[in-house]
Amino acid sequence: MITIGIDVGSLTTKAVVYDGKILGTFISRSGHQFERAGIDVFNKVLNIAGVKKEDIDYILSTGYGRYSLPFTNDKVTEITAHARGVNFFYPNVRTIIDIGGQDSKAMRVQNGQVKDFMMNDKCAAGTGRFIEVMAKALSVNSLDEMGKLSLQSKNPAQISSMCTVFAESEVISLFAEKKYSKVDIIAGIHNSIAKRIGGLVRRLGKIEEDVAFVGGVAKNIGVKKALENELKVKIVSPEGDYPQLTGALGAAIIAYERANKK
Amino acid sequence: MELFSINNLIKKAVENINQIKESGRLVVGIPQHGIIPDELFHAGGIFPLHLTLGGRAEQEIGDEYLSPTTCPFGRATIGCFDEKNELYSKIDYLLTGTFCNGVQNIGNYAKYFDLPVIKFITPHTTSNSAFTFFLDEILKLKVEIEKITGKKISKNEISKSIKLYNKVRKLLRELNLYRINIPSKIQGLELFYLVHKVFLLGPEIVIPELEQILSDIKDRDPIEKKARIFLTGSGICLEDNFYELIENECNGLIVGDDLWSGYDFYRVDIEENGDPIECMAKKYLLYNMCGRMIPDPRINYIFNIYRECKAQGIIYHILKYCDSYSGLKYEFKKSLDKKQIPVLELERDFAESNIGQFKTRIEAFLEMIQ
Repeated sequence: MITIGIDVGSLTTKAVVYDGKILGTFISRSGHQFERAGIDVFNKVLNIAGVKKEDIDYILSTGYGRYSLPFTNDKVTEITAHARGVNFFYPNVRTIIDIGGQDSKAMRVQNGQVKDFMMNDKCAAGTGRFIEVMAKALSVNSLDEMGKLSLQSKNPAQISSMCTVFAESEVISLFAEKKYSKVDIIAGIHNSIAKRIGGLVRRLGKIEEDVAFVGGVAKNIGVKKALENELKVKIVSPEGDYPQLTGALGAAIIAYERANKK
Repeated sequence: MELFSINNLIKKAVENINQIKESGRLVVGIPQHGIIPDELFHAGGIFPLHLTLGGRAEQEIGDEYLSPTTCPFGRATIGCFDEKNELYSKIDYLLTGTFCNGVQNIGNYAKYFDLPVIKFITPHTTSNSAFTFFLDEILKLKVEIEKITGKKISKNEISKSIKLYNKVRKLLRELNLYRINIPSKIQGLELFYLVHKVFLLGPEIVIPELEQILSDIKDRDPIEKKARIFLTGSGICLEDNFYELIENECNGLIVGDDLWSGYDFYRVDIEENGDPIECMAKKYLLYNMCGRMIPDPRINYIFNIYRECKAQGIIYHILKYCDSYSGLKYEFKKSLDKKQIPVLELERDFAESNIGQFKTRIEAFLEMIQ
């Protein structure tokens, strides 16, 4: 059985081809047309995996744009999908933090099944979009670079605003005042995100280990470190692009189980 | 039977209110909240029109009058008055009181619409002194109604109205059994709609329809949905799409609720033997299960009806700044966590911009519990 999971997120669309093991993966920007992004990613991941369209047994979409793809067999929320995807890498994980483009979520899981979850409110605070806006304000090119720079900080700035618009003004003011260096401001931004996500995690009750961190923002080492400090636990994340791919992978695994039950 | 057409229901309500006005009867606007004795207005010949309209647009109009920290229901209600919609513009008096901050604010701003206000002060506890006070408030309300209409309300008239409302409540409870029992034959949305029919058209018009549904319901096909949900928290207004979101878009089934806009309306009858005023006071105060009561009586009560409904999880709905339900939300979730009941907490207003996020949360919750 060969299956595909496609995670149409607000910023990026991800796909994983799966047959009991990962055959191929692909990530691309979602743009403003989710359907087109989904079709592009689908075609590209087939090429990468060396699989023909007619060989696919089941396609499952997930993510914010999961309803936009007309060619899938079914859809599942990214919360369920991430839980399964993380379980593939870390079967002992009991808490998952997922920070994506426009959502942040905390989940309590057991054996890849969601037991409880919390999600951010409608504002962009503490999401990938928030970091992107801050990176732009500080002329930093990527999330990765934000992460690496923040590790150099010895005196993180205090960022009091969590509203993206006000935080951007605050960051620009701090920069203009020359009270803090760029790396200190970036570390301050990461700490403020960690505080907000920490609140979300604590609302689930006692933090249960192991704790995994996934979603596009998990590729930012600075946020990961800030979360470890805030929650006082060791956090694991899959290597490379996989933090961003666990939703698509989880969808592909669920698709695989469903295809085998048919 | 015509179901789920909110526009048709509002159209019928306008026709009904026009007939009421033509017959010379007065109309009182009631922000319900499960503590106002409709029966007393009915007995006095005044039509109790429950204020349950308003959505995003009206909430935005309400923002011009009220602080954004007033609940969306309060803001949308003021927005409806500002819009002078066909229903609210027929209201002669507005009943208001201390049910919650939102209702108090509605009362404070009624002067902008030249609406005379009837004040009804409601206690937050069920102690003996609170009961005596509430009884006195109902008696004062009776005198106020008599002053407005110029006509005494007899005990016999009150008893007749109590019987009529008990009849509608009994029929709704019988229908509710078809949603509680497995397989369900009626959706939460349909019962919600029928309760709002009583709110807007009055019991006399709705009773024959309820009897008809009851005689036909056995032949209905069972309803199959992803998971069975119990809904608690802030009331849902008629033009809010929350029931549709859960049942039609996310494929859940609301098999039980404790909302003032739902089950709470028909849960308990008023005793028919005894002093009618005292019996009304008992039903509306001593059996009040609203989150406004101190201490919050809901946790054990909900646990029991949740089991009766054979629900698989609870959605705790909070309208932003509805203090009656937001204050104890963490305590509430913790208590139910201890009983291993899954709870999804959703805090929202009538804005439509974050429907996608709510849909994800509800769907993920249904996936989790199914």
